[in-house]
Amino acid sequence: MSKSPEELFEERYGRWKTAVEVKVPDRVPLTPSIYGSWAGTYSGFTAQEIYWDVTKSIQAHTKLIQDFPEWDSICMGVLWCLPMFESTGQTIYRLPGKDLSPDLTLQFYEKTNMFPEEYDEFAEDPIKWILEKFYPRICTELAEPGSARAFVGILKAAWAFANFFGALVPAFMEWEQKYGMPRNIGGWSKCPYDVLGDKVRGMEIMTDLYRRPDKVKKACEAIVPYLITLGRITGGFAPKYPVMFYLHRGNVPFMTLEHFEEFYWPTFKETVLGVVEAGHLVRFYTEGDWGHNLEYLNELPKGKVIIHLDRTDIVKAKEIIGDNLCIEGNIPTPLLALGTPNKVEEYVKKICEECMEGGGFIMDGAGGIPDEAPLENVKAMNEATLKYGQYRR
Amino acid sequence: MEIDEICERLGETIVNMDFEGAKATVREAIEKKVPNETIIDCCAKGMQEVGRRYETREYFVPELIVAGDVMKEAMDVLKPYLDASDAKKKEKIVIGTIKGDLHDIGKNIFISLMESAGFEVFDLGIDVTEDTFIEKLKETGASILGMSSLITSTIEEIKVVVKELEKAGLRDKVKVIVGGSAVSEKFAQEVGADMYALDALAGVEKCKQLIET
Repeated sequence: MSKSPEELFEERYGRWKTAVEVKVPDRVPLTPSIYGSWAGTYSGFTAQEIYWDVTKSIQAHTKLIQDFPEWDSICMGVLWCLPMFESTGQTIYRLPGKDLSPDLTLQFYEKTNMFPEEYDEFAEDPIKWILEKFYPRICTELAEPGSARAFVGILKAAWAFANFFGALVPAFMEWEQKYGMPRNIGGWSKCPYDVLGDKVRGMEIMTDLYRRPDKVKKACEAIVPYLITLGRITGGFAPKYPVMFYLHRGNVPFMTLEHFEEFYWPTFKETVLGVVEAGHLVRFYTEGDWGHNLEYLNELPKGKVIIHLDRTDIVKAKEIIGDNLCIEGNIPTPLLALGTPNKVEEYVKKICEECMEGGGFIMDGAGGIPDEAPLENVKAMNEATLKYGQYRR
Repeated sequence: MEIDEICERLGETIVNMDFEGAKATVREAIEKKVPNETIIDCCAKGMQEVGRRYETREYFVPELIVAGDVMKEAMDVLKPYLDASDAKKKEKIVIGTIKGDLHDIGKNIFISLMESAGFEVFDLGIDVTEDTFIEKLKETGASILGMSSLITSTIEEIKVVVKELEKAGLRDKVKVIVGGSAVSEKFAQEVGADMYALDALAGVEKCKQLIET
């Protein structure tokens, strides 16, 4: 007899949760993240369609759930509401079908959006600075706060977001209730230093470490409470799923270990603990190579943290943090995008052999499934995980 | 002897990312009549040491950028004292991120290092079309073209640019160097680029070798 959706949900979620708690499930959970538009690649939609039209994106992800029942979660990475972006006239993302060809993924264009002399103002009241300086600077429609134009811009953006969320929530419910499929992202927040590094100061943050170190530190400290709240609120909608942190600037080669210890880690750790204290799990996407920072992660509470590894040596990660934290990954992006099914199988076999012992290990691509990954490589990942990832026979 | 001591100190100020120290040392060197060319060489040696420390992972990207900034500020102090005879003919390079790709951190680091190494860089920015590359090469007469690609779905564009170079009759006048995480040595050979560099520092070294040969 086939399993009910409730049973399927319990099986998949239970398998994943056991691994998160660094215990041994029946097999290695298979939770391929889709941070870009691979669902579209699979269903025949362009990146433009997937990014702009939430109904098409939902359709494409639903098809993945139907066609890949062996997955233990679905990740709808395209949680960008582009109609909302467009209503505000934002200028920091370049969008498929508008600024880029319809087949290309959305890209972030990095530039400096805060002058160095604004650090104190930022630290004094970050939200005030973001609303009054940052948004007017990066959104053409919000350039004059309080103007009729800005009012209409916000109104349109809110309407677009309501439409987006209104479509998303029933889809999330359907995925759980009809297909028994969990998700692997609940809410999200950010590391304080990355907030400054990504969109506020951009590349300049790296010279600020030398030119105005105290200001960087104060600014990071100032946003901790807001980032804890952000994680708690967004995570509150689906508390069984982890709060996601995408980490960008703390790794090799963007920062020495001394700087990591002084500028990145203290306020990041405080933010994470603030979110975990409210009962949430947290999941980090550790972009790039985190090889030299791994030790620090052991300061986080056991069984509450999932580390999605990108280019970090996963075997080394298993050795250093594997007893405390669940590791996820990390089939290299070029291998999934340009390699052969045989090579994918080989890699999956290798990391299963080296990382699954004792539990606390989840299978995923190093950057999820890249947009260009051929179907046969994804199938090879699925089959190899089922073949080599069994704990009991 | 005194000149040697000043030179050594000047190099150290750059390695130690000491803005004020570097400027003061350049002023001191000017007073003590150290030849301009020697001052420039000392700074360049300092940057070489910074590069070495980057390779051995003592230094990271912030240190590369900040040391480059220190060198630029030190050079600004010297600038009013330079005359035409000090200005070596600079090798020109045109550089950009290819069409469809908006990544520029690595490219900007490369540019900063190339300028420290004495190249004249024409940066076309991001999402650069083949026509823009060709136009700029013709306008500047640059001998090197640098292209960067970070996403696998756009690397084919490099091929397009190389073909256009051939059509425009520039291929034998311009050396092509490619980099960025989507590109590999093998790919560089396939598309007919002259050089591939894994990172910014390697790129600078290859460009230097190129003009020496």
